[in-house]
Amino acid sequence: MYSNLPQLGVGLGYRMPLHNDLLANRHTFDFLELINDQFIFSPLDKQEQILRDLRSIPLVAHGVAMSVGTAQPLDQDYLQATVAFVDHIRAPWFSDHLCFTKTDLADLGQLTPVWFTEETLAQVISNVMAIKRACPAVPFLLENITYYFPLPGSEMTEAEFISRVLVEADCGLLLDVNNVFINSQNLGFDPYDFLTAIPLERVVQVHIAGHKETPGLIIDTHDRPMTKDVWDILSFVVARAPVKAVSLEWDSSYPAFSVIEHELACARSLYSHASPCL
Amino acid sequence: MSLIEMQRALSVILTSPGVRHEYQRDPDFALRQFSLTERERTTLAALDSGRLQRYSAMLIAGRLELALKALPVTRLLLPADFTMKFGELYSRDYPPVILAGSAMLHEVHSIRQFITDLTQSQVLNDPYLCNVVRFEASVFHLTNDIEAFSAATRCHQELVTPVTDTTRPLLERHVLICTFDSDILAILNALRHGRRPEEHLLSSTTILLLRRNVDTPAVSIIRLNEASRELLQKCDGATDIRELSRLYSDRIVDVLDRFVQSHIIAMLAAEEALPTAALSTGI
Repeated sequence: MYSNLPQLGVGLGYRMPLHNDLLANRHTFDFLELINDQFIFSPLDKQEQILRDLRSIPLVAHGVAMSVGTAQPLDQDYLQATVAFVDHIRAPWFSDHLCFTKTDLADLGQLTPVWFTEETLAQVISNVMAIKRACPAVPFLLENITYYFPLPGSEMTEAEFISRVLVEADCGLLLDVNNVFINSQNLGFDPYDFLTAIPLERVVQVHIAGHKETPGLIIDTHDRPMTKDVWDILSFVVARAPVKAVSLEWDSSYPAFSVIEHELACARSLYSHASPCL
Repeated sequence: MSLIEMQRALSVILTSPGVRHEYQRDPDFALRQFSLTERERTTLAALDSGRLQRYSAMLIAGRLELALKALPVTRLLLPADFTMKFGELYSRDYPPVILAGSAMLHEVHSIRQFITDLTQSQVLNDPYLCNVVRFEASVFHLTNDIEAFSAATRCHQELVTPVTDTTRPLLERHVLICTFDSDILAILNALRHGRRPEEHLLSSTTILLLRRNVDTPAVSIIRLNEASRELLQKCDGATDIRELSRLYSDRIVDVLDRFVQSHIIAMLAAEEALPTAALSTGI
């Protein structure tokens, strides 16, 4: 389905505090994932200073504020800026989250779950189609989010909702395996049942990250190594899905780069030995 | 009524402490202000209240973290429980808004004002905090504001027009002039090296000109005296050389030329309109 996309390998989410470490340890990753939002509202010289340093590295674009789940048309300025950025860095694909982050009353600034209903489904598909029309040459992926409270009265499960969006809007999946694990624990379902219920053939990229266990809730913190449960899920996925890229997200409490390097090496080991598409 | 109204209601419950507390006391009452269908109302009323509260706390912590990442020295001066203690107050006084630009820039401005308010009302007592947050927010603003970058570029490329009596000097948005009631640079230096600043640093006034550079996203810092500050504040794009010469002397043209050469001010010809959003803003 996405067989013509490049096999990027194992990469890392670009974060400013890691800039020098990334340049000094170029051999440890194959690509970087840039957060669109950190660039599209930045002065040109700031963008270019970073991109100049990254010019020989394959880049993909990942957004956090498209808000495809908002029951309103997309923010056209944000969409156009995203498309221009995707074009500028020559990303082979770009992605954002299956959630809503804002309404016309408030910008939540966080990935908030949608109600899994037919009405939401129609709105999400309409918004994804608008993204695809705005950027027809570059595939768009949706990412599953972590969420801490479900909305009661849903008409379908999350897995059914994601599956229908992907198929009916014909887009790819950025599967965050840490999010699958966290949701399975917080919301009470089997992560492997979830994985077998979604179209794994649409997975293009996988996110991995660490999480924090707190009383009664696991929090998606991206600030520590992955747990065995998440490695196991990654292993399951790369053995079944045509994954083109696996990327680590580490957003705060940055450790010595050797810790991140170790995570990348583990991911590479799993990916290169198990992926059916290699 | 519609899905968007349900999302609006959820957004308000999550971001407005007042509505959230009302919701926790009596969900049906809190939801009355929204035009919801019975099914939507039932769904929102049945949300897990404890999880909702924790998620709201995460939203606030996320906003504060976004801002404080840009203000590293300010963060050193805040109490360790700042987010827990003041997060809800911040959320009430500075609710999230719909933005057309950088969320981080917006949060930095909001947190600077919030910390200033808390300090002035003596809720926070660190004597260095007000000046430090103002300095860091100003530098962050200049390096991250697209208008400041555009103004710096314009000022750098501006051909110096022959200065005549009708030429109007203009201090643009890539420059901020800030007066601090302390020796802010010495205070920052001490704090960055893990030292508590000496108290006498609080007794001197410092006027700084912060200028956004054009070749790198960085800021140059120049100490000013009171006379220079006054002169630069008259460079408003409306006052012309004739008026400035009358106020000072003919030699003012030479002084202004040095500011032009340092890319601090631009010179507008008589007929030239002000660039959009041109004027330097105090922060």
